[in-house]
Amino acid sequence: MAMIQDPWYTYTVSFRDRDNNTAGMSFKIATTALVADVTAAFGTTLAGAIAALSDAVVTGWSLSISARENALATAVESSDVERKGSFSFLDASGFPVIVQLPSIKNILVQDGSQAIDLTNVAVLAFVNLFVTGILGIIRPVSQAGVDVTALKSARKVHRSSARG
Amino acid sequence: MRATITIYTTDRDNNSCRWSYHTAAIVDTAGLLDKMQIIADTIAAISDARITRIMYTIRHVVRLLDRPVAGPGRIERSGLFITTAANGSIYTMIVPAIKDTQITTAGTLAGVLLTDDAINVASSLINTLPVLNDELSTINLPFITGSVVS
Repeated sequence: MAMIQDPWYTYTVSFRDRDNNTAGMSFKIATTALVADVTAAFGTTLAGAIAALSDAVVTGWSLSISARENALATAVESSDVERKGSFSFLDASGFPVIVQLPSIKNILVQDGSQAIDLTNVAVLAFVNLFVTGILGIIRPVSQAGVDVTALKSARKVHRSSARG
Repeated sequence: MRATITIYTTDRDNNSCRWSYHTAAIVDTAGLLDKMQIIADTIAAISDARITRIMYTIRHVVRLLDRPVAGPGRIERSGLFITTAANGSIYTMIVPAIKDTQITTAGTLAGVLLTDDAINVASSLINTLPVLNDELSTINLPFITGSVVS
């Protein structure tokens, strides 16, 4: 199993008009472009060109890079996305960051409780993904933009999906 | 700038679930795919669901204080620009709230047209980036025509 990167980026510009209605404009960009050049393009060219065409104001833009699984296996019988591992983290300011992981493995839930086994090596690796980031580069942050630094609690919860 | 990592998962009953978390944005994405693979492997070790896709989105939000006041146009009236792609398919781009000054006074059976200036500006907007019509086909510029749509 391996993640394969899509051969395009998706660039989306967000608009808001005088009545506070919103709209978006998206286009695909070849991945031959450097992300730094694409992100710089808004300030250098796109903002001015859009302002010349549209009465709406630009509220932001986003650039998405995606990868897909190239050899999707059948999910195991026990998989249910409604069963979540709810991890409650704290950022450096003490602000909560809650992440709900779909279909937490039952074996990681301690019997007689909803608590997730925080001594399990795989769980520790997941927690470290958030509190230390990957190689210090993709560093999870809170809504306030402050680094996530600690795990407060982790438990199993259930949330209904759209189909049940 | 902020970034969001979004993970798409499905279970055995084909229920799907999308969840995400914020990270600091990185502009140099060298090695990003390797990091996505690490994320997928780490999650797969504790989840029964299949990870079908991971998306890394860099977001830039214009601060409220920096935003100009919107003009009189409304997003329901848009400018539709049309051109072709290298593979012969049609490429369209819709610009919300097209300005009055970019609309010609003459109408045709095809609708209300946009000015040549609008077509040139829209072309330069797209020409800034290597835009694709679909996954692989590049588009031809300048735009062939522009009209008003609601």
